[in-house]
Amino acid sequence: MRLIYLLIVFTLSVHLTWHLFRQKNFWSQASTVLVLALFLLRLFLVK
Amino acid sequence: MKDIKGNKLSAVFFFLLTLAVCFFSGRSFLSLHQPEGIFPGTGLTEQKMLSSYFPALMNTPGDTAVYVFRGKEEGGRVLILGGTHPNEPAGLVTAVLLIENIRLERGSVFIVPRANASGFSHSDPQEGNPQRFAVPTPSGPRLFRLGSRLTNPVHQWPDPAIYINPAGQKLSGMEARNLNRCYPGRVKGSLTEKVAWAVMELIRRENIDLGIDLHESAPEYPVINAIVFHENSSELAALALMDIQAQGFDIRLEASPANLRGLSHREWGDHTGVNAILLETPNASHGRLKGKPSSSLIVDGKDKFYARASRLGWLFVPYGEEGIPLSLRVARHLAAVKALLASLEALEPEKGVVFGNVPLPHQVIEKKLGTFLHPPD
Repeated sequence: MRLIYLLIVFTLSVHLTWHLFRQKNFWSQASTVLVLALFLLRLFLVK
Repeated sequence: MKDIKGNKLSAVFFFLLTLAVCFFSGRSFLSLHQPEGIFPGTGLTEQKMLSSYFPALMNTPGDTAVYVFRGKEEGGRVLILGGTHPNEPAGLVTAVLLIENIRLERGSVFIVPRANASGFSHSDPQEGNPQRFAVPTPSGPRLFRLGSRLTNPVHQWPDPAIYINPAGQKLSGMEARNLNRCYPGRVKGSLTEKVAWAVMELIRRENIDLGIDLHESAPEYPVINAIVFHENSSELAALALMDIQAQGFDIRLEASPANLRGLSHREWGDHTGVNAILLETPNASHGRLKGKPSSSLIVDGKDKFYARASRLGWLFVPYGEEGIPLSLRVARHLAAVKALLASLEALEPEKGVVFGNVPLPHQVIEKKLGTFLHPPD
C-alpha cells in the first residue's frame, strides 16, 4: 500500500518537475515549485 | 503582475530552491519526533518503557519512558503522570523536575513525564504555537517541546465521526486521540487506547496506591487551580487541600463526575481502586483569549488580554498584569504532590512515601524553575 502511495507521489513529482522545466513564464515556475515542495516532502515521508 | 520570462536557468534555480526548502523544513519538522533529553538524578532506581507493562505498545509512537524511584524502606506506591496533554507544559516540567531531583527514602514513585508521547511529535494546527519553549537555567535556556492535546493523526487516523470510548461514553470524533478520554483503554484498540491500557496495567501490576495526573487548564475554564478527585479519595483530597492552602496556594476541590467517563480520575479509581487525583493549574497559552502565542507566554505567563478579561470578571482565577509564570504553576503542582503524599501517610501510615532533595514550592517561585533543572545539553 505504501509502495503504491509512494509511486503516485513520485509520478506527480516527476510530472511537476518536467512542467517546471518546460514553463516559459517566471511566475508559473514559481507557483509550480510551491506545489512541488509539498510533493517532495510527501515523497520523503516527512509528516 | 508583470510578465517575466522564465528559462532553463530560472527553472534550475527554482528546483534547487525547492530542494533546499525541503531539506531545512523537513529537518526541522522531523526534529519534533525526537524527545528532548531528561537527565535523571542519582536517586533513579530503574528506567523502563511503558510497553514493559503492555508489549503491544512496543516500537509504536505511543511507547514512553517510565522512571522508577524506590526507597530503602517499603511504603506507598505512587504514579505521577505528566504530559497526558502535551500542550499543558507544567505537567511535563513538574515531572522532569521530580525526575532530575528526587531521592526516595521510603516507598516507590513511578513517573511518566510524556504520557502521550505521540502528542509531543506535532503541534495543534492553526494555533501558531511555538514548537518549543525555553526555560532559563543558570547555564542557558533549556528547551522543551510544546505538543498537542491529541495523539498525532499520522500515528492514529482517521478519527471516527462519533467516538465511543472504552467506558461507553459518546464523544466527538477527535476525542479518540485524547488520552484523557480513552481510559481504561482497550487491548486491541487504537494507539491512544493502547497507551491508556498500558497505564492501567502499570497501576495494576505495580499495586499503585495513589495516581496523580498533572494537567493545566485555560483561565476561563471553571475547573482550575483544582484537585479533581475520585470519590474513593475524598478524604485524601480534603486533607491535602488544607495543607496546600496552608502553604499559601488558593486551590479548590472538584469531585470527579460519575457520568463523565474515560478520564483518569474516574476510570483509574473505578477499575483499579487506586486513589485517583487530577491536578489543574492555570495556563494562558492554551486558552482562547490569549494574544500572540510564544515561548514567553508559556514561561512568563503574561498576557494583556487575559489581564483585561480578569478585570472584566470573565475568568475563574485572578490574572494580573504580572501573569501566572511557569515557575508558579510548577510550584503549585509540587505543593499538591507533596501534600497528597503527606495526606496518604497520615491516613494510611504504612503507605508513607518519604523523599528528599526536591525543592520546596516557594524556592521554585523565588529562585525560579531553571535553578532546579539540569543544564541544557
